[in-house]
Amino acid sequence: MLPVIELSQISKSFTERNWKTFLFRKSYPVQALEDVSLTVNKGEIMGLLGPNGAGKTTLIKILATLITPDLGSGTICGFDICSQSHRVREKIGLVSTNDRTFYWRLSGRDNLSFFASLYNLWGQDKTQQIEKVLELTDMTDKADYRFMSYSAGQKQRLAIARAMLSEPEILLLDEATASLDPIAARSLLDLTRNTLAAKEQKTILWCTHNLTEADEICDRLTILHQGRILQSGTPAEIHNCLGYKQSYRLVVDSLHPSLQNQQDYQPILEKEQGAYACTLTIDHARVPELLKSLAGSGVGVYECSQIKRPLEAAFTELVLRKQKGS
Amino acid sequence: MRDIRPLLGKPLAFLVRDFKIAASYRLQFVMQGFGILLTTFSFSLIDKMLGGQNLPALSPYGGDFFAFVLIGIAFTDYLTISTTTFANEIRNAQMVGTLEALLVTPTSMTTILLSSYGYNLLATSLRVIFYLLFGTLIFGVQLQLPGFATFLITFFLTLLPFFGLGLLSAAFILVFKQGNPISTFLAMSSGLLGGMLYPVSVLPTWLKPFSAMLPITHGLEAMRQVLLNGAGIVEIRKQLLILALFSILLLAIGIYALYASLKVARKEGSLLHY
Repeated sequence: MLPVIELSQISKSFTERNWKTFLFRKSYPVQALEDVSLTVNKGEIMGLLGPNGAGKTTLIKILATLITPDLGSGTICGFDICSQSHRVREKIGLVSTNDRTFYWRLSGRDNLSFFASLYNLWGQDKTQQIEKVLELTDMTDKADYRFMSYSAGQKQRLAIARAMLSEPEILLLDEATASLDPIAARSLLDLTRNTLAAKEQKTILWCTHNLTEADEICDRLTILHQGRILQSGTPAEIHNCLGYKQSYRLVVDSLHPSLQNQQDYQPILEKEQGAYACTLTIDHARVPELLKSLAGSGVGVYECSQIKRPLEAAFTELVLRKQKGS
Repeated sequence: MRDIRPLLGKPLAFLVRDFKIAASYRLQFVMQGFGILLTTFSFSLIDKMLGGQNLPALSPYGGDFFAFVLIGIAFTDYLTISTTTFANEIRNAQMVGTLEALLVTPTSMTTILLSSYGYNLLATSLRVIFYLLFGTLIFGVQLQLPGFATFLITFFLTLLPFFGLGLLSAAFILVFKQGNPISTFLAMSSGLLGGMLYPVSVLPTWLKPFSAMLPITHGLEAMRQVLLNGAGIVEIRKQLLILALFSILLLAIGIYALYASLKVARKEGSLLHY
């Protein structure tokens, strides 16, 4: 796995300036990030999760070179985020929830044309690239309408189109679905998963507080709380680190005693087309062993699927544990 | 042949952007034309009131008050936009919200600011051309046709110190967001001390040294000598030298201040605040 984003011990605090701090020379810094280290590999969708004020947007802005960290270091595609910010900006595309980052009186195409020039695209290359990103985001038909006439979903699609103009290796999506209705949000998730990640092979940092969508599209998650990383890993690893065991659904041709001995075994009494369905809790690592034992006992297994536990539960427990200091 | 598109492409993109946005407000276009006509007309009436007298204070400029004021207004317009455009670009982008999108592109802040100057330069040039056309064709102002090189050198040396002040203004806006002292100072000083509406020779003696410390005084003097008296480079060499020194000093301060303020704003995380 080739790391494309590497952050090491990043800390950032903000100091409010007002007449009191000026007169009395006292400042009250707010710690936005503390000792944050993060690695994102090429082609990965990394979810950056956390409640409001956790430091997600500050982290995104540091990666976008809009803010410099107080301490720590970081690279994007090997370029230092502080000393090589110009090169870093060639490698990233930023999509935020703020639709005011466009010129509302210009059409979508005019907006893209302007920003394409800032990404050093000219002439035929520029025209082709604009057509490509419009097609990618399914905005070709709407391209010549003024930006102000777009729906929230279309505005976000154009924001993705703009971020894709320079063919960046990394896309930073900050609360990209925050202002969207469920249908537009679903459409954007599909675009991210199926097109940007699968087809275009982009590395994506998906910053959100919507746990369901993070669980759905992210390969790995990093949970931030009060500027610190609480946990990082795949959704399953995050469940496991809390001591959660996985629940599975099995459909078998007979209810063998080895099944009944499992923790939280719950048979579904009705037969389903000549088979029995049951749920049980078992360590992920022990599943192959169980299946082998069932096969050895002559039990036919038609289905073995993991029952996904909502990420909300893990997230809430992590945050509560942190607040209780355990 | 060397590809000049990277050099011209970005300023052109800003020019097209600003033109399309301005053209989307059609009434503003029409009102600007009326504004120019009204200003020119009102100064022609003052000139008429003076009865075409050859005022002694204006004799170094041919004695015509209307012509004197016309050049003053027209070129103060250039100097004002040179000082305010950069700060306005940042302030507008902060307020509207586009600054974030501009700054995450691989385009430097200096390029963004200088490129944003194009539309204003063009619009002001059109305004100045209209001022001069109305003045000469309708109100009978006599202008000398200067040598092209003399005009161009004088024009750019007059503008350059104001670019420096403009960058300094932009630096203030990046850190303090509002209350830009440079624009306020320039507006006050150009009206009072710069010789926009009257020659600096009529100022009280104690004010004259302050007037000499302003680039606008030397810029307007040079432009009037070129356009009203047909002066060449040699005749205005003193003003050009002073303007060149102002240019070097103010551009250096402006560029340094801009990068220092960017660093501060990135450090404080206030780059996008307004």
